[in-house]
Amino acid sequence: MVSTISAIVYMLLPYLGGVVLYDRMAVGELAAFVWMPMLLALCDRANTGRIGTLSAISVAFALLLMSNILQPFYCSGAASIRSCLRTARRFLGSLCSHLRNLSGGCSPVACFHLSGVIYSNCYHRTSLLGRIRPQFVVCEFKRIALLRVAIAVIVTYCACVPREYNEVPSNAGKSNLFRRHGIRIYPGSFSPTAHCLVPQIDLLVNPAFVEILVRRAGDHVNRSNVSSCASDVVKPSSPKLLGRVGGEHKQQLLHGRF
Amino acid sequence: MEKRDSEIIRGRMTTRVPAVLLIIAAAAVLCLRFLIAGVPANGDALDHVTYQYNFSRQFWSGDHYPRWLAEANKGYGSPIFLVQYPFPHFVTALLRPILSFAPIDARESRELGVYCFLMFAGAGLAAYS
Repeated sequence: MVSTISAIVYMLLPYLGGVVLYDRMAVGELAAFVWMPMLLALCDRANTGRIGTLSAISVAFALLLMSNILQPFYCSGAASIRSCLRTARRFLGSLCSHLRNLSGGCSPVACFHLSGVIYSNCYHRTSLLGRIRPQFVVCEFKRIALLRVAIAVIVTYCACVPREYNEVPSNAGKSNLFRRHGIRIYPGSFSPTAHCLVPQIDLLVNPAFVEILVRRAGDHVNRSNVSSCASDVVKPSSPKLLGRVGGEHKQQLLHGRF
Repeated sequence: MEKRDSEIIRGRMTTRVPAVLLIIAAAAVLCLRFLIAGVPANGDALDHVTYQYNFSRQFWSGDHYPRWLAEANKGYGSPIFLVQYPFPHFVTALLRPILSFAPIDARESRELGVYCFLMFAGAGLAAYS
């Protein structure tokens, strides 16, 4: 039940469902969101030493590389930290679990936001590539508040308490309402997924997100409104065919100017 | 022992199958717009439709990893797949014989819409597993 709800929440969260799918139409990054939780879950099982698990990690990482360029950097950092701290836990004991959760929560937040901050301060101001603007500007990184980053880290930390350190459910108290109704909550039951959610948690409290979704309710793509494959375009004779094409583009199509 | 194993498997099936169906249904609802009319013209959609049109055409002509899109940019060509990730376009190209959409202008857009649904459902299932 918890896994099903967390999976649906994972799909509903604004960065995946809103920004990647609806706003940016980043088909590669969308595929990366399939491999990232899988890779982190497999990394957790890697210490079993099974050949199948290790092979599956290789396949998942290869598919991640084939799906997107940026996400493997972000994901490999999180996966490495998780794996290293998992290995070191026998030496550090329970301290290690706290370190792992904290680093697991902080590092993706840092990676995700630092890229935006670097862009805002260096890339954008110096007009490095002239008029070209990376898509993540829509996330309004300039409005990053320390409070939002702190909320993201705290939420991730709470969600990432690994199951093995929580043999007793978090609501084990006698007077707990959930306990009385036989409902048990294991906070770490979706920890690999939670690591992938960190950047999205921040967007939950980002007022620009709603604006993006409302503003970008655009038309559907038709190959005839793509100028770069103009050699394949059949000049539409009926205005009905151009019903969904914008004004300027419509004029270009009608007059054959590409 | 075998009876117990079969009971365990049956127990897992009864819990997992409804969950998987629920996740796929949620993905279908969220991607309904993509499944019906193709990808919306936001972000990089126009570029991806162009790439997909050329990629599928070369793929099904025998060029199984088209790094150079010969017909793109009004026939001048494009080297985009020397640097661009190919996975989404491979999957979408492979969907063509299964989906069999009519060869109209919106075909690639609709194929990419189905791809988005599959990946979205896959993301949910990966998070579930």
